[in-house]
Parts: sequence; structure tokens; C-alpha cells
Amino acid sequence: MTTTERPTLPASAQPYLAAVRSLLWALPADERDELLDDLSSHLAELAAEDGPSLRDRLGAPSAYAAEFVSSAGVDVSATTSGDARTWRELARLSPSMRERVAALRPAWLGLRPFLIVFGAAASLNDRWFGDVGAVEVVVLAAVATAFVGVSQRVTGTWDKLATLAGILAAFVVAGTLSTGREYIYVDSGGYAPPGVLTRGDGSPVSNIWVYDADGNPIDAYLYDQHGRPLDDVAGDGYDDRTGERLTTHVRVDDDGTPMPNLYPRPQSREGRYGVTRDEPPVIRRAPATTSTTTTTTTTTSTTVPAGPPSTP
Amino acid sequence: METSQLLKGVLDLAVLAVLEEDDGYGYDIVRRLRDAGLDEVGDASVYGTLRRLFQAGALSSYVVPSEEGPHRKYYGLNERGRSQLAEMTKAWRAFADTLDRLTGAAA
Repeated sequence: MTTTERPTLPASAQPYLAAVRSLLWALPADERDELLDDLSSHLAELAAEDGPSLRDRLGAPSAYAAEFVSSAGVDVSATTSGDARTWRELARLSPSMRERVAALRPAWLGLRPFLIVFGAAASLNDRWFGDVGAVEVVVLAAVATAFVGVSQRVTGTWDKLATLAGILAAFVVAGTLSTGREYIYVDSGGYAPPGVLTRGDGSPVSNIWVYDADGNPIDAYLYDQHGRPLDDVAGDGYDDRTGERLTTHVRVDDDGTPMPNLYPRPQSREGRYGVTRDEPPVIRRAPATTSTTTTTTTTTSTTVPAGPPSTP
Repeated sequence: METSQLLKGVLDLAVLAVLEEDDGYGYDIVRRLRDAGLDEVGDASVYGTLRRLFQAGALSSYVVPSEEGPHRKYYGLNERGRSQLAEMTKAWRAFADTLDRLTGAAA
């Protein structure tokens, strides 16, 4: 279509073109060249005129370029090539824009550690790392973030403060997460949250199944030797044998009152085959009647929960 | 008074109005705006405005070879440009009337 011959430009015009070109890096090349051709003819014409110098006439090249780009409505953020560049180019747009951008940058620097930490945490795979691994990696991510913050050209007092604050905050959050989900490693290969009922080998008890003398599963309220409700089985966690994620719910009565020591609790496990609801375990030495109690009697009703596979 | 601030909002209208009289190339349009009394209009903003209006489909353009110096890219109003000019003129009148009333200026 309409292309003009590239006019010969006086040296004084070059900085103006260069300044505009540096702001138009996000545009497609042909579009940019067309614009620059237009501006060259304008500058050539101005330079050929008698009168004040280009500088007096147009002001500083950077101001000229900013004025052109902002009135042309060119979206210079269309393509990004690293956030430093984006910030720099945006900041050039206009003085008022520069102030706004400068005000925003510390917020961005402070926010960034969070994004990195939670991005890392969210991308973690429970099957690979388990919860302990996740916490460690989150902390590592925060450390890595610290390096990112330091190595980047973070200059200026506010930038530094914001980055530091963000890193500290990320650490605090990571720390909170880790204390909230502290797990003790035990030899059995399971992870028992502190304070839950454990077996002799330290593996957590996540549910309790009670059978009557006929081998039928029954519901039962359990108490310890002092009459205290036995309600501290492991709630949510991982099966110490299969690694599946367990979700256990406290049972409630008809009024919705929790009955934390009523067993078995409804329990579901999320593993290779999706989410399944636990069935009563197969008990090896069932007293009289059946061995596989899948025909669950009326006593268990519909809330059929779970438990570790049996080996009494 | 910061005329340049006021100008920003109405430069589109001013450029369209100048082009309604006659087609023109960038520098020519700058001059005509200045001659009309808009002394503070910036070269770069006029060029930017032309580019934006062209992108928006309000202007057509053609290149005219010139004897001395570079070829010139002329801009002219097309249908859309004309209707945009009409619309903006109406909006401007209403706006100016309102401000006239507000400031108690004589019409």
C-alpha cells in the first residue's frame, strides 16, 4: 500500500526517531516502519524549515516520543519481554504515568514472592512429596525468591523495602503453613500428626471398626480407662500403607450434634481409582458367622466408614 | 490556564474539523491547527492522533509525490470520519454550553 521513500534526515532528527522506535518495540515490524516513515518525513520537513532548531521546536526526544505514543493510543504492553522492560517502557509513556507506575512497582515487588511461593506450592504433587515435602519446597521457594529479589535490578529504597517485606511475608506464611501441618516421620512409613491415636509402631489410627461376637460390624462409643471419649483418631491424612489421601468425618446425631467418639467414622480415600468410600475391613478371624462382612447388618446403617486394612 | 490539558480531550475533534475543510498531510495539519489559534498543539500529538484516527477507520490516506523533499502522506475524512465529526461536534456544543452556564460566561 502506501509506502513513502525514506527521506534523508538531518542528524538532529535521529534522536527523535530513535526515541519513538524504542517505545514501539511491541508493534509488528511493518506497522512500526510505516509509522517511523511518517515521522521521518515530518521531521525532515521541519528540519528543512528556517526557524528554531528541532530541539526548541519539539522538546526532548523522550517527551516527543511519549507524546506521540500516548496520543496514538499504541498499546506498548502488547508483548512483554521481561517485567523490567515492561516497567521501563511503561514508565516512559508520560510523566503522570511514570508516577503511577512508580507507585505500583513496590507493590508488585512485594506481591511477587507470594506468587512464586504459592505457585510452587500449588504445583506440588502430593503423591511425590507428601505434606512434609510440600512445606519444605515452599520454604525453598521463598529462599529462591529472596535470590530473585536480590539479583534483579532492584534499586531504590522503596523497591528494596518492598521486596524484603514480600520475602519476609512469604516466609511467615510458609512457616505458618508448616507449623499448621507438622507431621512426625515414623519408621512404619506413615506420618502421624502429633496428638492422634497411634499404634505401637507409631502409625496413625484413622478409624476404628467394632465387631460384635458374631462378627457383625457395629457402631460403638469408645472411652478410655478414665471415661474420656476416645475421639482423637487421625482425621485427614494419608494412609500409611497406600499413600492415599484419607478424609474422615466425625459422625453427628439427628440434631447435628457431633459425636466424636462414635465409631466407625465415615471415611473416604482418594487414590489411584478416584475417591472411594471405605468398606468395612475384612477381618481374618471372624468369630462365628461371616468373614467378609460386606452384607453389613442394619446396625451400620448407611454411614459406612473406613479403617486400616485389618490384621488383628 | 493549561490549554494543552484541555486540548488533549478535543484534539480528535480539532483534527477532524481541520480535515473536513480539506485533506492534508501531517505537518500541514499541525500548521493549520496553529493558524486557527491552537498554538500549543504538539507536533507529536497531532501525528499520534492522525495515526489513531486512521487505525480506527475514520480517515483515508494517500501518498502524493513531491518535487522537493519527501513524499507526503495525505489524510482525508471518509464516511465514518464524517459521522464521528458530527457526533463529536454535537457533544462538544453541549459540553461547552454547560460550562458556559457553569462559569456564567456570556454566550
